Amino acid sequence: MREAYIIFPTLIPFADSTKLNLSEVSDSLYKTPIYLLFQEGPPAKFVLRLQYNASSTGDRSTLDLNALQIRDGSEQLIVNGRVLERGVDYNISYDVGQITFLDPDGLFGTAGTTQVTARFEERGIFAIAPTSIYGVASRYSLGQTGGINLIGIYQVEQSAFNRPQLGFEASANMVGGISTDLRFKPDAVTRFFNKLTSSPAVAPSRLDVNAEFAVTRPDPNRSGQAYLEEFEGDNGVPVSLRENLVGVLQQAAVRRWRDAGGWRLVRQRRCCPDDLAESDPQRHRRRRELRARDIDPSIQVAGSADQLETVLYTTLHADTAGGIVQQNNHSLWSLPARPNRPRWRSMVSALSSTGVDLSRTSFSSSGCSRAIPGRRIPPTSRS
Amino acid sequence: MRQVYRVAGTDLDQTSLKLTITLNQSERPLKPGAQPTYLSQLGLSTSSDPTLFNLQDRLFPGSGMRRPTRR
Repeated sequence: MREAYIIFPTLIPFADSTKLNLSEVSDSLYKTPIYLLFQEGPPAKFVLRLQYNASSTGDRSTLDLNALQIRDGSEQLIVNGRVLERGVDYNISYDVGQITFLDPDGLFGTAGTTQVTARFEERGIFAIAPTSIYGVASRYSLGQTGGINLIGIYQVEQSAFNRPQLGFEASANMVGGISTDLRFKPDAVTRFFNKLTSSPAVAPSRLDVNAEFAVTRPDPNRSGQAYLEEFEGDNGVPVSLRENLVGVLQQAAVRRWRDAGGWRLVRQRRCCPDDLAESDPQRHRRRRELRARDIDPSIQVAGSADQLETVLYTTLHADTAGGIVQQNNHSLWSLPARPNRPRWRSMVSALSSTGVDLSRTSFSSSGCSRAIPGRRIPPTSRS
Repeated sequence: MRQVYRVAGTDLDQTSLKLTITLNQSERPLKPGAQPTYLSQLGLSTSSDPTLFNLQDRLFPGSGMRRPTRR
């Protein structure tokens, strides 16, 4: 045992309600599995502040903080009263807690001992994706002829999750190489050149063979199977029905629709119970109020979250209506009829302005109903 | 084991180790009648000083904490 550990006298010290108040207790710290502590664990509550002296020997251009998983930007280094600046005075590897001083001679001078004060925050040392690296290096000497070098590295990455995230596969990679450093003295070459010259050569001939051969064998799927997560527990991607977010295609596309006999979208309005009720109560009462169960009776709503659904009301006029259709549904002129031609209308709504990943989407659902003044008709279709 | 916290590597001067436990930058527990510090409330301080970490009994390997022996 070469490391030091602080040991609490109880197994769950920060969840002991006999010693801590209810607002202080952090029992989730002990209920969350280790492999989920970083992603889904409770936020840090208590702070353990340690102050100690540690000596460092060897190369003074590096300093090992003896800590892993240091919180980014939490470190502060002080040498002779001066706070060092990252990137100017030093670089740090947060994963392994190693500091590299960029100018150790200028920083420490010729003094025999220099005290470096380091403050940092360390996260838990629990591994997210355990990675094992095995390496071997060997040399086979051939005496005066030289030698053969062998090197190999094998890296294995596993998942600590029983249900790995989609896209993660336990992988391994092996890199191996061989290099030679051979030196020969071919006497035949020496004799050949001696025959070409009048006097024999003094220096012997020499043939060096330096060769390298490397091979890499990646194994991207060690388990031979990929885990597909079920999507039931994921949140859906809602399609906004706000009228300023729902639009039609470009004018050229609209023209093609009209040529194909598409419906004309004259007016669309979002029905939000709150603002419509305030702005136009009479009109709001004429509109239907829809809940989720009105769209799909199989939907079970738990608790009191049975709220009104946002409905986009759309008024469609016949494709024979020319010009702007008036409020009384009269058109300024009429267009030729298109019997037996398909009539349809399309609207677009962006799911996200920055992009959204739909590769994990298993299904989409939407509902619509046809409203006729004076009649109440249940939703006619749902997909 | 989640009652064990790693301190440092091989070059630690154990006698220099000082520990404080804070919650919202306060060392004083909220529970009525509790010890004056979280360090003492959670059993990590010496009996004489509630602000002093008990190096002898609560740091492993320490001089006072015996290693398990095989019988």
